[in-house]
Amino acid sequence: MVVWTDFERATIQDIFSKIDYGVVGQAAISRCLIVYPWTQRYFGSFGNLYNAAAITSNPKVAAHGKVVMEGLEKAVKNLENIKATFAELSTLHSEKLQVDPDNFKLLGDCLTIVVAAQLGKNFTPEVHAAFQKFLAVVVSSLRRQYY
Amino acid sequence: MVKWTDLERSTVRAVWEKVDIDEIGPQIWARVLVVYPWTERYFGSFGDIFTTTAILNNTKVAAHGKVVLEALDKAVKNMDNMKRMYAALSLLHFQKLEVDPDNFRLLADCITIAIACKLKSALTPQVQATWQKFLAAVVEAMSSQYY
Repeated sequence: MVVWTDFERATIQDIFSKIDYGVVGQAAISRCLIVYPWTQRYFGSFGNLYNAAAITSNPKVAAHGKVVMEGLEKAVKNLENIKATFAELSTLHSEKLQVDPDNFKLLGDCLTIVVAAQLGKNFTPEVHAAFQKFLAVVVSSLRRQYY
Repeated sequence: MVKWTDLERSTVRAVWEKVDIDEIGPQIWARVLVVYPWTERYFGSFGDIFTTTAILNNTKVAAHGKVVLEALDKAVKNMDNMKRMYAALSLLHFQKLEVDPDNFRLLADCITIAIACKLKSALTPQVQATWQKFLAAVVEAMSSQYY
């Protein structure tokens, strides 16, 4: 089971208290769709994703970004039990949405860059390490129900 | 061979112009050594590299940061010829330094994050995509002499 230090808990909670879920969620998903264009295949129902401008102004992308951040918030509030928290979501992404689980890491990387850009020099190496540990646990939990 | 559009070339140069080697050099190592602590094994001769403060004040780390970024500068100036340019360095890292090439990707990620902290919103999704393509080409060139 994952062991969190006090510093890691405080850091993760602090980051999530500082970020605007609407802004950060939309930015992270947009980046993913632009930097890793194959991910667009999962969002066929989102309408116009033909170029960066379309993606960043697409309201369905924005809405989905918020959904993802609210999902992550559940993990922040349940750090001791992320695996159980995301069991259903994992099954959903595997069986229904058929998302290649490698993409979870890509979205995590984009989220890290958005948070880094927002926090600037406050995104110190230690904060960076704690955030990446959190995302690694999230990604691992989301992969868990895939065979 | 990697193909670069004119926009990609000018984007990579524009990002690079904003990088202060003396400022960013120590930071990238601080991130690598703190976020991926197993990398400390490569730097046994550097002295105290076990806390962020020690790393940022370590003159050997700063010197090595400069060495790496000066090599990256060569890539910015020779985007069409990276494989040949890095062949000797790749061989050195493989045969003499025995560095696991997965670590090149980790260093590249930390470089991107350090730049994100500095450039903030100037690192737009499109700029990020181009910069990551550039670093992926560098990592591939650095891995090319391993087998």
